[in-house]
Amino acid sequence: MRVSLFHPKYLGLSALGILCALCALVALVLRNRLDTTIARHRTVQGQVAALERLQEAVGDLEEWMQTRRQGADPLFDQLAHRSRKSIESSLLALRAHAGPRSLAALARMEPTLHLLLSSTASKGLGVGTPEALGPASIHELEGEFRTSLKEKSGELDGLSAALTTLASQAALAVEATLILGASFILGGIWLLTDLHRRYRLAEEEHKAWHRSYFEAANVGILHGEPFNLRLLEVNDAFCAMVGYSREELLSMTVLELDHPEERETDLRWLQAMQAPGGLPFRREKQYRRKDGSAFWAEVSVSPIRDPDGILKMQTAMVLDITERRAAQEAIAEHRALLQHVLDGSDQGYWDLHFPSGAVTTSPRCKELLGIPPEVPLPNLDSWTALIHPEDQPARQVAMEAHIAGASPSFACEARILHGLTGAWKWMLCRGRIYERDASGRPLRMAGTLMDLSERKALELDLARETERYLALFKSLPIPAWMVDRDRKCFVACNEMVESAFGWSEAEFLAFQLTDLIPPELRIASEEALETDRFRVGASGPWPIKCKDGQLRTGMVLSHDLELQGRRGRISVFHDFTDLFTVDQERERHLSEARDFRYALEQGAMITITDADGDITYCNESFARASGYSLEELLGQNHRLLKSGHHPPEFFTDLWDTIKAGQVWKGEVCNRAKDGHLYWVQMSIVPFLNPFGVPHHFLAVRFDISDRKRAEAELLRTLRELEGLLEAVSVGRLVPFRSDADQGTLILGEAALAVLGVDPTQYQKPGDLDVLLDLEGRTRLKNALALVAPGSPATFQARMEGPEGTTLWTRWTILQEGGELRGVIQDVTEQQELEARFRQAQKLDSLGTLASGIAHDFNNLLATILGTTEILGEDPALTQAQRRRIQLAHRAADRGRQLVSKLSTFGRKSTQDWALSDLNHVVHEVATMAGHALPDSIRLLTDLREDLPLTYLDPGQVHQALLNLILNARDALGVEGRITVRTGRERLVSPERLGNRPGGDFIFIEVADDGPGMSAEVQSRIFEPFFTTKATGKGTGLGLAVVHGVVQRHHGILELDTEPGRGACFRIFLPFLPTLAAMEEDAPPAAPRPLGVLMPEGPDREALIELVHRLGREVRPLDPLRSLEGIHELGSVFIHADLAPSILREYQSLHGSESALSWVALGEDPTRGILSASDLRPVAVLPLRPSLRQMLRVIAIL
Amino acid sequence: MAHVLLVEDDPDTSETVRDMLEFLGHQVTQAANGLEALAEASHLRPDVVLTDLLMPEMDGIEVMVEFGERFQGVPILAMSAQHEAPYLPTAHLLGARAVLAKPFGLEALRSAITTALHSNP
Repeated sequence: MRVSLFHPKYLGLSALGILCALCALVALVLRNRLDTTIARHRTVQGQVAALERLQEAVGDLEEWMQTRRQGADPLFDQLAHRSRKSIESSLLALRAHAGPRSLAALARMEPTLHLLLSSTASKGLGVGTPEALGPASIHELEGEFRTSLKEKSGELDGLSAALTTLASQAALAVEATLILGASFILGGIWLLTDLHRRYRLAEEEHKAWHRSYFEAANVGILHGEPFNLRLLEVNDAFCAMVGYSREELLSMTVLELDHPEERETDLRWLQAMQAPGGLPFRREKQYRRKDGSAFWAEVSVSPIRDPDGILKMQTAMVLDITERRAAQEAIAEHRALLQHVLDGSDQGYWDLHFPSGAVTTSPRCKELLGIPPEVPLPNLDSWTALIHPEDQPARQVAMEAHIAGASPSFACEARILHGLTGAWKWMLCRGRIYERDASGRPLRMAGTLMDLSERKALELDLARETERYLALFKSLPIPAWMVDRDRKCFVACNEMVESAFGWSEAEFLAFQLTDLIPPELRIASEEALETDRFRVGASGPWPIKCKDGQLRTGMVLSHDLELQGRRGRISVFHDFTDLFTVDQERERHLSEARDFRYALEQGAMITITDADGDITYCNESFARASGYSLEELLGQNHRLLKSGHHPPEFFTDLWDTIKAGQVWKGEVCNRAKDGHLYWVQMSIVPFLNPFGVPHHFLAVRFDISDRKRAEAELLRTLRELEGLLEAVSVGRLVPFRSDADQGTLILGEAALAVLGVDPTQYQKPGDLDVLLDLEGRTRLKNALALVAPGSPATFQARMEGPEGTTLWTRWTILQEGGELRGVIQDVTEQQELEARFRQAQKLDSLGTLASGIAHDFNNLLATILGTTEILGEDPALTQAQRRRIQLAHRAADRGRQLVSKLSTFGRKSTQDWALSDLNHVVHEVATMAGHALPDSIRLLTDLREDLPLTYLDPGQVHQALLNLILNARDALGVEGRITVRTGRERLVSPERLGNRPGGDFIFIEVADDGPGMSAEVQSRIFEPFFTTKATGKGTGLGLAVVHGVVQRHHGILELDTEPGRGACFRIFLPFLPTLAAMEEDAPPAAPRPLGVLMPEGPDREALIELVHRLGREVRPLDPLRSLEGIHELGSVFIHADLAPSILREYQSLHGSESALSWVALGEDPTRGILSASDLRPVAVLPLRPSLRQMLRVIAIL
Repeated sequence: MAHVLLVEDDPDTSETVRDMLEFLGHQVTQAANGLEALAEASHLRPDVVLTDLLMPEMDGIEVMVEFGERFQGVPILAMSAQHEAPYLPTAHLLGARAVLAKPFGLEALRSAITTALHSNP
């Protein structure tokens, strides 16, 4: 409650008080003046009285003196004496009251008075003295007295009047003072009452607040006794907090509620507070609830003291901070964690204060920047200065974007100057503004700094590791695969999977895990998968299904790993199939031993040996062949039969094989007891124990001595033929023997089979008619006659091969002792190759010849043709003469065509590319084909007039077109119509274009109204050697050639057909900017130098000369340093072969929008242009352009 | 009707072509090689020059170059029995109004002469 003196109520009261005080002051002043006046009045009264007495005394004295003069009278003397005395006392009194003026008057009167006095004092008075005191002096004195008296009386009157006035005034003032004072006192009393009332109200309010605060607050509040610490009052919130009821709490002390660990501390704090002058305190402590659990609370304890400073009670507010504390702990933990992360990640931490630009950095940050810890922290500017100039713009952009709020955080990779090494290091700086001012300006930003060079190196390492690991995986020599454990599928496998199981990678990866396990094992395998038995480490053996239906059995070794965030597993497969097969074989052997033994023992020699080769069992056959008895053999080592024929390595290999658990098969020479050698074919099967180690070996032998003998003989024969065999490397060899005397051949059945001779036809040896024709027989006879030891005879003969084919054979016969031996070699293929080669050579030489003589022939023909033509025009000729001359003319014309055709053999195909009129080609072909078509088939042409010239190889297009027409003819059969059409079309659809660029195309179409084609035929139509024509009629190459030609021209070949609706082939050729197009809109020429970018050589010289002659400056450019030149000149001739690479480079340097005019030059310029960049040439020219072509091109450069 | 200077070394061919030209109604002066042709041309002032390309002494290419320098404006036609590069293309390059591949017929000759006479270079 505040009381203001300026409240109107108090203002009035105050004014009253002030007035009252003023009145009292006035009254006081008046009283003072009254007192002064009264005192003065008294003085003046005294003076007046003294003066009157003095006057009276003087009068007495005068009377005395008069008397004295009249005689002395003692009585009078006495009287005089009294008067004198009276004067003296009056004077004294006068002096005492006299003012200055009165004193001055007295002083004036004094001599007279003294004189008077002294005269009266002398007893002898009257004698002499009274003269001095003349009556004048006394009168004068009297006058003086009167005057003074008069004055004093006046003054006295004035004073009396003033006194009266003052007294009335003072009375008035006192009265006013009294009235005002009374009012003031009354006002004061009212005021006090008012204050009291207000205080009461405020107190009520305060109490209500306090109550509600106390009861309703969510903080616990408790009041306690200061010394015994007993609780006086608690609120409900606290009750709820600690779980006690209010009644229970009021019988407890504060300390009882404390957590045992807290009591001592709490007591210390309380005592400190309770001490005189002790202050309130606040601390966090643990309370114990009724149920014994503890909670954290923030408690504020205040002492309540009375005005004398005596502690009355203490009050505490308790706030449950369990959650806050948990949050704080979490934050602390989080912060510590963050610090760990930052430390662990090798990142530096920084904090930027924007307004000041101050940067706080962690030690690691400084370390990254290469700044020693003792160097002061850099501010933002000095830090920014460390960033590489080239990276500054990116940093600024990123920072501004983040400041503007466009990006959630700031991140920039930049090169930062390392303070110690002075080198640029790639770092990643990331940050985020975490505090902004009210207007959104950034205040603080925190972030990290990371050394990217290390991360990059790490990434590189990781990539390299992964690569190495994958390479290892791929190159494992055994099947290996990777599995996604969550999806239970394969994700990768190596190449060995295909070679081991036959499944291609795609097939294998499509399997579920258990798909490859045979059905009967699938459940087991699934269980194994579930129970991890299939998982890590080795498991198995598992049989895996192969593509060919077989099973491969092996152990699966697995290792779990993380594969791109997925749970993966890498497994390798150790194939033990062979081992298990052997194992199974052993089992089978044991179980079926009896059955087999009987069967085997009939023909086979069987032994069983232990691991060292000691015979533990052998059968009769074996004993019989070896010549030993059974008793002799048992217990003996197998070496007993060693013949010495085989080198030691032979047995090493045998033992290695069988000891590894594998079956060994081979042919072995054994020595019998009597010393003779015999050959056996032997299989040794090891019996394996469960660990795969052989414990016994079963050897099964068959006698092959006879065969061996025959083979030995054959081998000898063959060795004799070795020299011969070396000479012949192609074809099939058929050995034969010949009886020289009879001139016949002895051919085995194998030989006959090779030669394709039916053995039933070859009844008796020497029946050569079946084998050889007459010519062959003659040659054979000659050869047999010629052959001599050391000098073999050979000849070639044509024979009839299987199914009526012709078989070319080379016969070689040699004499050895009295015997004739030989081989027949199938040289059909060789013969055919040679024939074809000879044919090609023939054509080639013909072409060379033709082009050599073409000039002369053309000259001759010129004469004949010219002359006959003119002759034919002679009107004087008879009909018969004209016909004969026309015959001659026609013959000469055929000669001309022949020369022309022959010349093409001598031509190289690349020279044939030319800027050509497609219509012209079509016209030529149509004319030519017209002759090849029967009259019943009509050939129509529909050629578009304004077809632009294009680059093509006329010979090839000729060929392709002809093939299409001839195909159409064959499809039509007897009669029909073939239409050849040319035109122009713009192709944009990717379905038709494939991967070629779209644009303008010209096309040739060959359509027939024949039977059309089925879808099946259509799909195979362009395959080489596919033909629907009768055998011998079609090569199956026609359309393949067409296809090839179209491809060489970067064109498109389309076929539109349906059964019964004819067929239509369409060849699209790319349309390029040509002279025809350039003629239409040639811009005015700008005389600037033209660049020439061509390999050095005659072509370049010719071009330079040509351009020069046309009046333009030429600058040859160095292909290696051409880019500047091209850009500078802007117009350049480029060889088509150089164009793609140069232009790509140019484009990457200057962009595709740059204004470059270039002209492609080349034999097949389309090749270069199509693969070049977006920069299309303004023109395309042949390597040796004509003057006219050049003129037109130069006009636009 | 034009005056044609025919340059051809082979006498038979020369005769034949002369026949053909005359048949087409032109006046012909023959020259056996380039030197002769130049000598003739200097006083004859032909309307057209028809030259073979492969000739002894001075061949057709040289003839064309010389004529190009000395008698500017006289159209030149080239002919050759050698169809391979570089003869005919070179002639074309050097400004021949048309090239004739021997053997050629009357029609081809007629259109070549017409081209030479009526087209401006």
